[in-house]
Amino acid sequence: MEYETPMQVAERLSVTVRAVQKWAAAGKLKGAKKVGRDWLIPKGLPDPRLADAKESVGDDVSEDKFHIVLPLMNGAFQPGKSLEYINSLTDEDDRNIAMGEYYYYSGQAEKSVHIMEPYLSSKDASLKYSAETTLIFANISLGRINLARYAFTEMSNQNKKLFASDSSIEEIALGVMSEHALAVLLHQPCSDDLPELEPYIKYLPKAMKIWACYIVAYRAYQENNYEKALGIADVALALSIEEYPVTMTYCKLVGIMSLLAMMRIKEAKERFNELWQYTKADGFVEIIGEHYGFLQGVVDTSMKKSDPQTYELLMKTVRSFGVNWIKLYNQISERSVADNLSATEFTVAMLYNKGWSAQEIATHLSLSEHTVRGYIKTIYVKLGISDKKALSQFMLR
Amino acid sequence: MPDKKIRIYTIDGDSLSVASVYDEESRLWIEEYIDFETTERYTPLGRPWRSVTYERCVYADPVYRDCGTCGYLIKEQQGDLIGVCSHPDFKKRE
Repeated sequence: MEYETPMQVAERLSVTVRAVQKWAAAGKLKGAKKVGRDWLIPKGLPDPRLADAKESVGDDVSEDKFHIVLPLMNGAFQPGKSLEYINSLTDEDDRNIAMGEYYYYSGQAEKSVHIMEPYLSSKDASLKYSAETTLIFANISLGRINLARYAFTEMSNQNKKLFASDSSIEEIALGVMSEHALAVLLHQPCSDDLPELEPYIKYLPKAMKIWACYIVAYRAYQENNYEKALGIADVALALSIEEYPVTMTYCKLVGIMSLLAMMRIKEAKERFNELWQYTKADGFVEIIGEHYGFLQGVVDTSMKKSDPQTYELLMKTVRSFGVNWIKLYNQISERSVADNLSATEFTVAMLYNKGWSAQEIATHLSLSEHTVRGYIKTIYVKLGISDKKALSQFMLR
Repeated sequence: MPDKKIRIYTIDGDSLSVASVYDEESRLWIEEYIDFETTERYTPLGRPWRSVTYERCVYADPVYRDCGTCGYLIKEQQGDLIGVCSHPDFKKRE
């Protein structure tokens, strides 16, 4: 008989190794035998959660029931099939969480918050973690900056306890990744005692490995190491056998951002057009909205004319997420005047702050140089500043 | 409320009249400048008018490269978005 290790089973079923060990100990993996401290599990056994679901209809959630962390993000499905995938989840809570994620990714933050909030008090660590993570970002979109900041601090505190406990390596890996992810994406500093992310990547479920690579690439991008960022993103995507539309969209985006930063505009535009075809079937506009400021006008030049309806929806998410994001990481920007930047002004401001000249911005956005200068002037008036140095204090670094 | 306001900038003895348009969305008055690069304008001392958004000058701040952060730009008031360049190399020669 051929056997699998708990890690192999965990990878196959997108759960933690600890979950597999508990299933084995509970006799849910038929034929599993303990060898020393670990288990050998007959190869190809079905997911025991499917059996659980059949047996426990109407029952309370049992203690040894394992939930998928961020099930939509971790889900392998064909692009455009996100709702079918969600409906295929057998566990009601997993389905709810996945739906909450779906609402967030598709620009419906209010609905996402409505679904996720009750899970903040869940005793199940996976459900709680999924709710917290999604709520941080959904609250940014809704302008509830203090709630987002609070959730971020809460998660950091929980992770500190996690790192100090005898939790499994997989749980610690998830905590390490989540804290790195939030620190990088929200431009918050990492705590000094936070371990490096890279050694923990191998302990994460498959889709999370891709997301972790996105985080590492994003960090390289922030350090202006664009070649490295692009390389990490491309390798992560190339090595993935299955389709994980959510995490892959993130990874593709950091690649496009890096190409733009290296002024490889044509490639960036081609990749963005491909990405948009990949993502739009599921309507995941918020993921693009999260990165809009770094996509440096490629969204506008690619979508404004070809897909005006979606572009409008995207701009709605950009307006809320982008401006609120600035507020979150940059106290100085908490002036109401920052809310007044239009999407184009926001793009011009990001590009100008990145060191692009007015002429380069004009060429990129198909505008005249005088028009671009007009935008910069309006940005300055709205922000109450009069030079580029002051602008840099407002923009994402 | 008037839909336009005029401000007269006076630097170096030159007076430049600039109109502002009210932006309903931001509720701010936004000044409308001419493009000083295509329509050059000099003060009686031969100094060129510049917008803080110009950034093609070798004497500008090496990091930010714009007239806004350049010490040679003379403004009528702090925070103005236009002014006059006082660098001798840009003085208009007769």
